[in-house]
Amino acid sequence: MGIERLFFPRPTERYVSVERVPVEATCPACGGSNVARYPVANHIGPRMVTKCQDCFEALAVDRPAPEDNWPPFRPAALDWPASRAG
Amino acid sequence: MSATDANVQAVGRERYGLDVASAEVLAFALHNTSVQMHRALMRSAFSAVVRDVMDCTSSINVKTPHGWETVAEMGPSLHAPVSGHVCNFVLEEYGEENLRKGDVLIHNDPWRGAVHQSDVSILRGVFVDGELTFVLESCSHLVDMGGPVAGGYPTGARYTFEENLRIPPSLLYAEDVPVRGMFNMLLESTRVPQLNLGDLRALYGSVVVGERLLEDLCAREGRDRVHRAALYALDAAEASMRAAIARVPDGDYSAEDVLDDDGVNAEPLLVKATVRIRRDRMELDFSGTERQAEGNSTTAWCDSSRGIIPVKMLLDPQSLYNGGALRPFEAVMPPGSLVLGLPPTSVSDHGSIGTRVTNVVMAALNKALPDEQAVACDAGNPMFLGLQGVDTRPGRGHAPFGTFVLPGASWGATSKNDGLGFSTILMTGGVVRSSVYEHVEREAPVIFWEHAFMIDSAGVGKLRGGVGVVVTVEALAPVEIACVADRIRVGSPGYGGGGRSMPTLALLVRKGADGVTPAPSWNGVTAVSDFSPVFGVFDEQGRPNPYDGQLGRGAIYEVSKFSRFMLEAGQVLRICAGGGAGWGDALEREPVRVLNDVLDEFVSPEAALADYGVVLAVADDGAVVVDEAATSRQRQRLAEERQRTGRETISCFRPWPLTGDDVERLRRPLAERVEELRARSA
Repeated sequence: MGIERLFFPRPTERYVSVERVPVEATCPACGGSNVARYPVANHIGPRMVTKCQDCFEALAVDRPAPEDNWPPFRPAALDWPASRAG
Repeated sequence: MSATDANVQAVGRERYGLDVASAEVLAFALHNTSVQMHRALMRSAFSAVVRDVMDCTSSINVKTPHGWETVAEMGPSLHAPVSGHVCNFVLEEYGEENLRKGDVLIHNDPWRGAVHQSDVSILRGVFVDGELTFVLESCSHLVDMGGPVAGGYPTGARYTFEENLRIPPSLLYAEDVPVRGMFNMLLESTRVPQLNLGDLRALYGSVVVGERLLEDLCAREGRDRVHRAALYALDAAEASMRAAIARVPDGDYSAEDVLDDDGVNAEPLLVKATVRIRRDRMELDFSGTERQAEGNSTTAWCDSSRGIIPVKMLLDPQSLYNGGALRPFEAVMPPGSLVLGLPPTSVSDHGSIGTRVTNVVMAALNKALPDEQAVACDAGNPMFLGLQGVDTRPGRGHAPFGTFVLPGASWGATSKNDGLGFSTILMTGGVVRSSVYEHVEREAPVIFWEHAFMIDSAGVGKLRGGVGVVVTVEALAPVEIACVADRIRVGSPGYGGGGRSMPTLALLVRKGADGVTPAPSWNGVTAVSDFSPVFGVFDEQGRPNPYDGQLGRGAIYEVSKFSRFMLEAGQVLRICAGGGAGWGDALEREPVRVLNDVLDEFVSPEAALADYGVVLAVADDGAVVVDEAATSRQRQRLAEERQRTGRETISCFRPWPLTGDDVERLRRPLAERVEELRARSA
C-alpha cells in the first residue's frame, strides 16, 4: 500500500451512516440470530466487531483487515521498516 | 471483618495478588503521579493557554491484555478519553520495539487520535527492569503551530493544508538528546517560538517527572505489584461504569442537535446520536449525522471517545476516571461525517463539534433516565477568539503575537440546582478555564474593559441555566481575530419545559462621550445606537431579538466562525455569550429564587414578569419583594398563553434599549424600575 488512503472526497449524500452487515450466526449469550458485523471505535482504537444486536454480546472483536478500510485514513509509510528515528 | 469484606479480599488476592487496601493505595499513587506530571507541566509552561487556561493533560498508560490503556490522567475531560487511543495509534505505527529509554515521541495528527493539530502530545516510555512498563503522555495546546491563523482555528479553512503543522509520530528526543531538526521545524513554523520552546520543554519535563516518580514507586513496591494495581484500577473503573449502565433500561435513545454553521456556509449542520444500551454495554452511534463540513467544524477521530463524557457525568460521576471506564463503550462513527472527517478536510475546530457531540449524547441519554437525573444542555461553545498580529507597543520590538480569549461558558440546570455560571463547558469538564486577562493584555496589544455576567442570558426554568458572560475588549494596535462561536441562531435547548438560553452575539461598540471608554453596557446590554452588529439575531430596529429577529440582519457576518477579522486600534468588540439552558417549567420556579436573581442582576424584572410570571413590588420599607397574589394571576395568564401559542422561551433582555438614555434609565434603583414596570403592566 502507498498513498491510496491519504485523500478522500467529501460524501455526496448529506447524512451518513454506518452499515451493519448481517452475519449468519447465533448469539452464544441470548440465542438470538440478529448478528451483524461493523466498524467501531472501542476503548483501544479501531476494531471490527461481530455483535448480537439484541444483547451486544461480541462474537468477535478483530483488528481491521485491509479490505475493511477502517479507519479510512492509513499512513503511507505504515509498513515500511523503521529507522532509528522511526 | 464481614463476610462481604472477606469475599472482596479473597477476590482481590486471587485476581491481583494484592489486598484491596494495597491495590487502592498503589492505584492512587499512579493517580498522584499524573497529578504531579500535570502540575509540573502547568508550572513550567510559557503560554497562557496552558499556564492559565489549563488546556493540557498528563496521563499514564499501561499495557493490558487489551492494549495500552490510560490508568491515570489529570487534565480537562476533553483529553482524558483520547489519551489511550493516541497511545495505541502512535505505538502501533512507531513500533514499541523501536523505543529506547529517554526517547520522546511527538505527535498531533487528528487522524491518529489527536484532538486537533494545536494539541501536541509527547510520549515517553518508562522502562522498569528493562521492560517497557508505562507510556507517559502529556499534551498541551500549543498556542501557535503555524498556518495562516494563529491559535489553530483557521475558520473558513476547507483543507488540512490550510491549517497548522501536522506531525505524525516522530522522534523529538533520542535518548534524552533533542532532535535538532524536529525542534528547528517546530520553532521556525510558529509566530511565537519563545512560547513554543517553553511549552515543549514543559511537556518534556512533565514526562521526566512522571518517569522518576514511577521508577521510584516500582523500586519500592516492585514492578509487578504496581502493574497489578494498575490492572485493578482499570477493572474497578470498568466495573463501576458497567454497574451504572446496567441500571439504565435497555433501549435505543436518539437525539439531534445542530451546529449553526461551519464558517463557509451559513447553514446549520445536523449532529445525531443514538445511545444504544444492552445490559451493561453501550454503543454511541452517530449514524444519521451530517456529512463532514466544508469548513473546519469537523473532527477526525477524537469524538469516538469523547462521547463518554456526558455518560460518565450523568451515570457514574463519583468514581475516578481512567481508561477502564471506556471498556463498556463502542462508538459507531460514519466515515465522512462531522465526527469522522476524511482527509484532507480541515479539522481544526474541534470545539464546536465536540461540544455538540456532548450535548447530543446527553440529550439522548436524558431520554433513558428519570427526570430527576436529566441535565439541561450547557452553553456549548458560545465563543472564543484567537488573536494575532504584530505588537507595535513601545518596547515590544514589533514582535508577532498569538494568544487566546476564552470567556468561559455555563452549564445547564439540573433537577437539584441552577446551572453553574461563569465557568467552562461540559466537554472540558470544568478544567479548561477562562482566560486570565491581565496575562492576555501582556501578550497582546489589547485591553479588557469588562468580563461580567450577562443579564437574561440563562435559559429559564424551574431551575435556570448558568448565567452567560459579557466580555469587552479594545485593540491598542491592529489585531487580527479568528472567532469560533456557536448557538448564535438560537440558544441551547432546555429540558422538560425549560427555556433556551440567549443566542450569543457580538458587537462593535462605539466609544462613549469621553472618547476613551467604550459606550457603557448595563450587565452586557448596550444601546443599539452605540453598536454595529458583528453577528447575531437582530430585528428591524437593530435590537438583539431571538423571536422576531433575523440572523445576520445588519451584521458583518451571517456565520459564527470566521478569521482575519481586523480590529483596528481603538476599536472595541463586545461579546455577549449565552448561558446554559433551563430545567423544568419556569412558571414553577420558586418566586423568591426569581427575586434573588433580580437582586443579583442575573435576571431583569422584565424577564421575571414575562418569562417567570413573577410580579415584583416595593414594600413600605423600600425593599423589593414578590407580590404573591399578582404572581399567581400572572402565571395563570402565561400558562394559558403558552397553551395557545406553544412558543418556546428564549432568553434575551427585552425591550432592548435603543439609545444611551435608555441604558441610563436601566441604571436607576431597582425599586424605581419595579414601580415603573408595575405601572406599565397594570
